[in-house]
Amino acid sequence: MTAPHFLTIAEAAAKIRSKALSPVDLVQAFMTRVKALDPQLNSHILVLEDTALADARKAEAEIMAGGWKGPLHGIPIGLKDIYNTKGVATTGHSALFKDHVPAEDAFTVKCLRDSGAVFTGKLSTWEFAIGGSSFDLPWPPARNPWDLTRDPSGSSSGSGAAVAAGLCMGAMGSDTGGSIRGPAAWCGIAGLKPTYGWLSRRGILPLSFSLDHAGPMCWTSEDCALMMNALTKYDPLDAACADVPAPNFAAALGGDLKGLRVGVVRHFFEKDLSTDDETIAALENSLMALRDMGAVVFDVTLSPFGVFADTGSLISRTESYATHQTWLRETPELYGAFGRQRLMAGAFVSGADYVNAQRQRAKLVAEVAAVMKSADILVFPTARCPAREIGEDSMASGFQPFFNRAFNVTGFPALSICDGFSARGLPLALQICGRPFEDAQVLQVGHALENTLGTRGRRPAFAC
Amino acid sequence: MEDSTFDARLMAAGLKPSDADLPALRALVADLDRAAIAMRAPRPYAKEPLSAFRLPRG
Repeated sequence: MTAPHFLTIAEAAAKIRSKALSPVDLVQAFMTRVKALDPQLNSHILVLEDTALADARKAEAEIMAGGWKGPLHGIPIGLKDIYNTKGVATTGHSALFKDHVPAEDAFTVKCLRDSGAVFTGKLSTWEFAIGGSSFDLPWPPARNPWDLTRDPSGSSSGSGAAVAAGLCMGAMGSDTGGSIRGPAAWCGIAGLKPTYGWLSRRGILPLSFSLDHAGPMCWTSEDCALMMNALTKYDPLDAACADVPAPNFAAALGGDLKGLRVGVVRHFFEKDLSTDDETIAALENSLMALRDMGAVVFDVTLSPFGVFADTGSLISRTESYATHQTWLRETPELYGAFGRQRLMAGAFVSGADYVNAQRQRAKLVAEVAAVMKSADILVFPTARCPAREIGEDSMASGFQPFFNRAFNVTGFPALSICDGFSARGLPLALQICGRPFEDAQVLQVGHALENTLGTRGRRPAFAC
Repeated sequence: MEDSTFDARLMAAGLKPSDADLPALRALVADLDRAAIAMRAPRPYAKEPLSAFRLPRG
């Protein structure tokens, strides 16, 4: 029988609904695990034990009285520590915001709270979602539960590590240049960067307003779908929020993939950026599984990956500098070195170059939309390699391990799922991208592949 | 822009990074400069604007 902490949200929700599982017992079990494992994993900045247990007791009383709110009721959820929480410190993992206590919840936090979710902790992040795995911040960097000497990636590092290790059942991450999908890939979980604008960003510490996305990180695509059901609420106070009716993401997971047109962006990983053999083998295995399920698989061509990366870098650096410029001038010593350097670099981009990048972005959106007239989804690896040593930092070395940026620049939905393991036992990952507001189809394909590939039965030895 | 303008651009921004920050910052700026040059491709005048400012309705 699966231990409660390794149940998926879907499995736990069924047990809670039928009163076979107590939310109080469940949350208590997670708190015990956090105390035992997190001193080595560093996935939490703040453990919310007292409020979590109080919320679990409230959830249990509601459910026992016949007031089950839905699949997130009584479920332990972690929040990347850039999500504002009313009356609870939200630090951005930075000395600069060490004493920042918001007056209200982020919109998405409120959505989850309304769904009955129980918040168990504020999770580690790269400083302000940009800094890298840093050792010069008030809290240590999260580590990878598959191998504690390795980087979980980021910036949603604690979210990836905590979900993979069974320290919470789901978590919120954010993704400006791949910050949900990177840690999802290296920690072996599912992470969805939804369509730009579908989830409100209000109350989330901003990095780059036109590239920032909020999104769920869970053990399975199905659990991401359950979280999306709670999160896709229109927020008129986020100017980018789209007033688009949301489907039932979980209900859309069923059905077969017969006739699904799958475009493989092969030049990304065969020509544009060298990619390791195990990663490519796992992708080919996934393609075979898709063919076996009736999908039609063919190669497609987009602009070289570097064009997407350059466009995203110019926009992201400029917008993030605009947010941080006063603090960078007045209190640069309150940032860690990686964060400070990366944020300062944005000061060097001219206004014309920023506009040029936005022009390029519009062309790339049109290009991807044109390709997706003949392909329902696009696939390529999430990462070029499995998790690297922590300290062997990609930001300092200039090595870019991920293929993520293309879908921040375009805003199309993109999901990372675990599609295998390396010979060293590290997760490998596939990225599945869809058309705008067709996130449900992306999740459906992820769900089908997870079931077929059988990767969800294996957890990190550290956590078992 | 060339890296020779690095100090002038830094001063114009009012930033005072530490000496230890400078090598990494120079590398990041060089990468952004390269990216910016790549973005400066000619674009058909008649097809502007590719990006739009749009007012909300109602």
